[in-house]
Amino acid sequence: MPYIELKGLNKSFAGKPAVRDFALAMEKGEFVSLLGPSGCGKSTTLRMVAGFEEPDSGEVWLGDENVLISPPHRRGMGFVFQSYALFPHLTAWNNVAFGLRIAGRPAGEIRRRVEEMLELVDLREAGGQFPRQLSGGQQQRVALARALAIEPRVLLLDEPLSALDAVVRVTLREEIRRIQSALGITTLYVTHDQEEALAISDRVVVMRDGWVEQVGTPEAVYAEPASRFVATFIGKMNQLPGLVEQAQEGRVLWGAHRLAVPPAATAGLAAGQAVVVLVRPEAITVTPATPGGPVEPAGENRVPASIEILTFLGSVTRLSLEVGGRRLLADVTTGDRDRFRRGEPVQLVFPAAACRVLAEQPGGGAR
Amino acid sequence: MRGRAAWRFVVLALFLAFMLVPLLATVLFSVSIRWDRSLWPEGFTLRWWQAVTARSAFLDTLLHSLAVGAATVAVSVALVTPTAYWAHLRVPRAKPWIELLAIVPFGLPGVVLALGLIRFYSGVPLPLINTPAILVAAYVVLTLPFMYRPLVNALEAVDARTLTEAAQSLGAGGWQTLLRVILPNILPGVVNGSLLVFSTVFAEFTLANLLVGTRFKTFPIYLVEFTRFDARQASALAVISFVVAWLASLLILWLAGRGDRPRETLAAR
Amino acid sequence: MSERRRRRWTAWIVLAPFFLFGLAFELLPMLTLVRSSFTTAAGWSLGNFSRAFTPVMIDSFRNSLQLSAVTALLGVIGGTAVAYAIVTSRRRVVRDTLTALADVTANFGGAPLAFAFIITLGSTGVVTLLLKAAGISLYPHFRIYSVSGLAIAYVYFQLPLMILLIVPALLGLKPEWREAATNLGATRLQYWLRVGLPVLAPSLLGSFLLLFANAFGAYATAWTLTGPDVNLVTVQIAALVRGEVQLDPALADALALVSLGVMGVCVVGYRWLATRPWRAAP
Repeated sequence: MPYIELKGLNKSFAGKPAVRDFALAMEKGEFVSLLGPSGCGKSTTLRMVAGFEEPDSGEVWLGDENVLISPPHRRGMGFVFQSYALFPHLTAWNNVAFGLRIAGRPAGEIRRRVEEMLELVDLREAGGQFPRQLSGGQQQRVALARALAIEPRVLLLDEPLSALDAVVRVTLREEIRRIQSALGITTLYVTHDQEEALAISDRVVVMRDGWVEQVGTPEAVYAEPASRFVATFIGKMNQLPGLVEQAQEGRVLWGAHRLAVPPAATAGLAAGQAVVVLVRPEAITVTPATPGGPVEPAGENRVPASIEILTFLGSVTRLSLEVGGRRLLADVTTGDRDRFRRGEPVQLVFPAAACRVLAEQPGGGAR
Repeated sequence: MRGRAAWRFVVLALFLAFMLVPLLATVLFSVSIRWDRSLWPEGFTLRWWQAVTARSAFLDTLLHSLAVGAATVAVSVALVTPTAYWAHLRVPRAKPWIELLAIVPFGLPGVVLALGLIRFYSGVPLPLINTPAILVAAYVVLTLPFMYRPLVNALEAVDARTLTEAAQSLGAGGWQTLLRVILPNILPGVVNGSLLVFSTVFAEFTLANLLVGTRFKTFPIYLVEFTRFDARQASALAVISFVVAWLASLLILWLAGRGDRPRETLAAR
Repeated sequence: MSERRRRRWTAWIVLAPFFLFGLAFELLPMLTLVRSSFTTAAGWSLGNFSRAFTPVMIDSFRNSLQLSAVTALLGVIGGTAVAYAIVTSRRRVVRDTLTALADVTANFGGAPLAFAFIITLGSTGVVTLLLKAAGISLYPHFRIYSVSGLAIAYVYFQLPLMILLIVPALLGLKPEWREAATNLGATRLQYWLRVGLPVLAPSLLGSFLLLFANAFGAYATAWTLTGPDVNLVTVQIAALVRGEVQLDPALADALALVSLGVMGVCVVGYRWLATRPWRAAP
């Protein structure tokens, strides 16, 4: 039996649906992220689990316990807020001790536990400070320590790093994952930053407009997006709209070019059906233009293009390329950048295996 | 420019004079042997102060006023704080009704409130009339706006909702959250409201006179008696009134300067 | 979802003490007044109100309305002038001190204040003597124990109240408006007539109403200064409460109700003006 199960959760605000039919099963110790743009319902889902919002319908089970009948202060779930929500009138030490005091734990145990928690988040010396004396990153660590001090069965984090600057965000997310792994605590994490979700999660739930678009490991969601939305939301993705030419052999016609895709991807599709071929920029190799006609050995695509724009992104340089009136992106390591110039004709090479195919739904939009 | 500055100086000087002269005159009068013929008092003495404070009635009425003031503050805080918090957080639909009840006293003259209370409670088999209890109740009503506004402002300023959710996630129920988390953080608002309530009640004459006047005398009643009896001793009492009012106001101002609390004063006659 | 509904009902229970209190000490007494003022020996009628309009009572209303209007007007004009002088002062010390002074004195009034004025402007008061030394003889033409004296005392607390009310509105006059007006050719006077005063108008009017209500409902100052000599509505009601003049409860109720009506109009008017679109009212 899964450790936590969310079934059929629905919630609307003033007639507008925020969460639609949300379902998820989590194992003990798992770290799952809810990822999506603002307004996709991820925070609302989390707050329903915590008890700050009441679902219109649905169930939340912790083992064999129906969580929804308990009021929020009796659910035993630690919550970390985007705005930290530290109590301004208490020191960091007393903030962490708060839940233990409420539970009436003996003073010795409280002291031990608070020290332990502050040590865990690396803030032992800051115990006597008030929240306003601490930096954003420190405050968030205190908030984490406070939530963990009560030994919650589940840890819920609502965009905890959004208010912090970029460098702090990266180090802190590593720490959160490290602590979570060490304690083995089941965690549900909400974020709109896909890099964050991919970096630290066991599984990612991609959401849009209240719907779950895809659930899977970070690798699966990245390499095998189930819909156009997921494909474009996670990382950069080239979208090549075309028509199926030969379904069994995996041939798709993209403009004037014939693309090789995995036959399994087009199996079952009708000839002439509208599809979108998806290729990640890093899967495309950029080589100098070879004279002679395009050779299409089975399993490899070669497409002539010309370089429009070079964008320096740090370790990677993104090339924006023009192919017969259409745009493609390809990434090259910055070390190789000097090989390329604007306006230069090149050849793009990418294997069929790197392509995914999504069938267009009638009425547009491939799910 | 020069003309404007001069005009401004004149206006402000006149204002200052108008405001301060009566106060200073009262203070001087209370310590002067005689001051009805000359521009400056003829001799100084503490005789009047000694006389008026020596009376047992002085201490009695002073204590009565302090007690009624304290009781009003206590009832007001206990009544309004959970109400404002709960409405702010859980039952927003109740807020307009609460605000209505909290604004009506502005349009309620003391004499009318006294009349209404006497009229209603004479016909009710409850021994309320002519006891300090009804005075406290009337004062709570009268000062409702002064307690409610600062409280609500403070609740909004500290983001009570997020603090409450944090406390709930740590296991604190409703009352625990209110007492251990919310109250410590809205304390400036509570203190602000309490000072306003106390200073209003301490100086209030109308309701005290009409509701319980003869049985239970408050300080303002004592003062008014002396204005008919001996002006010089009355002036000493007036100075005490002014000092209490000033202290309360200055405390409020000082607190407001420490945090950015909105100022809230309104004359209650 | 009966769980949710049950929790909603329990939430209202916490609010119950407040509402019960308001009911017991605010609403029910008022409703009693309403009911009894419309009740005569002949049942529901306006008889009490017609009795309320005896010459004495009409006189009291006239006095109260006049006193309130005059002191409110003086308060508005004087208060605005002082407030303007305060906000245009260059030195911060001046602004802060005077605003603090207004803060403190706005709460004054009642018996101590009346008494302070007796000492200041009574027949042997300081200022009276001062003026006599300067050749101006106040008495016997002027008496502090009169409506005029009362008016002066009232102005003492109307002024600072007005200052507190109008300073935010004055501060809300953006300097950019003045600059734009000048840039478009307006003189100082034209700016004030066409921009400044219209923008301030809701605040000025609203403050007037509040000051009016403030004066209309005042009792302690009048009672201490002039006692039963000056005929005001609040004095009449108080006398009836004490059973001094005539034992006529219904009359008192009718008077009280009319007073409430006047006050109600003022407070509602003030609140309405405070929510005007260009948000100039405090």
